[in-house]
Amino acid sequence: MKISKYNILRKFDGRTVFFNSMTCALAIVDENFLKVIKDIENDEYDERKYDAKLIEDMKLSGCILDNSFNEISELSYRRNLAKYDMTHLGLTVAPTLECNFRCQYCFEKHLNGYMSEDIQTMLVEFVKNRLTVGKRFSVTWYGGEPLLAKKIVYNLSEQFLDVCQMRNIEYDAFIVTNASLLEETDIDYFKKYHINGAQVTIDGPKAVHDKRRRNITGESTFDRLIDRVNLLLNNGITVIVRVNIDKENIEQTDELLDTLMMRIEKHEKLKIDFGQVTPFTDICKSIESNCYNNEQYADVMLPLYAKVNAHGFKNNKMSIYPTLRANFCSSDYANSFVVDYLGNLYKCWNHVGNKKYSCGSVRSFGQDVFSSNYIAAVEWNPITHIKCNQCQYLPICMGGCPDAMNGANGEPVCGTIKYNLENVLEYYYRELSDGGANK
Amino acid sequence: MSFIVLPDRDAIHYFDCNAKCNFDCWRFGICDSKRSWFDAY
Repeated sequence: MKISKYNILRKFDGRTVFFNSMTCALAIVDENFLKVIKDIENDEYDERKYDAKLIEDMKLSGCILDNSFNEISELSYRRNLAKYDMTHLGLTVAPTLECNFRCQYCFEKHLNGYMSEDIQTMLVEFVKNRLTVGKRFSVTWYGGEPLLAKKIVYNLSEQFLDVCQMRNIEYDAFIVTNASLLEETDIDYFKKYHINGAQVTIDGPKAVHDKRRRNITGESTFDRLIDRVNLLLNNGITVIVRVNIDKENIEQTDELLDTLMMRIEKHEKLKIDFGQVTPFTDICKSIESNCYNNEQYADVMLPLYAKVNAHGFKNNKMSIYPTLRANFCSSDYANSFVVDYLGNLYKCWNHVGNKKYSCGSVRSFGQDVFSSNYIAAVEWNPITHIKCNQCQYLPICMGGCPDAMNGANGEPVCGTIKYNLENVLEYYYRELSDGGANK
Repeated sequence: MSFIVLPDRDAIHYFDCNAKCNFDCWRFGICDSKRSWFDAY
């Protein structure tokens, strides 16, 4: 037997806590566990000497492995399985880049225009071609503000559903919206067109939110958004309230959580997700001084999620528990694309509307040689990068954001988990173990 | 050895789930597969 290179052991309250980043198992262990490890290190391992259940659990947790087992190869194999799985198509569709908000940190150019009927027709053909072996099709409606183009959203949804029903393909959709344009009548369309979840950004209590997420006419949006979140949740649609965090609004999160607890009727169903404001493009460079980098954000994010749980938002218990990543995001997954209103394709949400980063068009994708932008995104492989290959956090980080790497001279930008894993493990030890101090 | 969080060794289920995502759907709470895993806690 040998020991996994992804074992992490820490002491909390005098107890030894074990984590394995290949399986994300977390356990309290004793001297019998440590004896097995020591025996393997000293080449004195003899399975007959130990409790059979202990050995079974140590194997299950990924802690100990057969000598022939190559963890990096398995990671690579699993990653390839996910990455080149063509049975699923993921599309993020921006039917317009226009927006009725002018958020101070927005990274997009709000180009004028809506997806034409011709482009819609070509997009549906593109979908048919990409689903030749498809079993599942997931769409995220994006923008700009997608509800400025709700007719297009519903028209495309109708056609996507037709394609899926004819071919017996599962279909689901999600929407990233500021929600200000959501009407009661849209709920029936959401249900009909399988828009099962929505992300709505509320950046703080009323004064803070309204300052950061201005309506184009300068009106307050806070009360309207609270009302729209209730409308969605009360109709069984999943809502993630996104709170974009930087140095300007972090101090007001308690007040926001108090307000959400008070004013969201089904708060037990609410998901809350904190986003790290990042100056992705030149358009939002002006807010750079307010932003946290990954290392700084790692310090502040755990207390934020702890507050969410402490406030009693029960649907968020495991939000920051590390999870195994096969591939990082849409960027390095072969059958996932972002589409703008002109039919241009991208691999990354941050690039939408910026033709320089386009990886093709719905008019011609796949008919010609795949573009260099497409190949570069899909073929990015942290496993072959020396910094990541040697890293204990690789299975739960997978090289960090590929777009951030582009701005760092091709060097991977480590995810926050690299900087706060120990604190995260201590938090979950305290939250979930029988002897945890937070019980 | 007392598990606090069980190992996620159900690789096909798990990675199939990951492959299905065009972004981190489990983080956003809309992935039923992942939710069932998390609901154990």
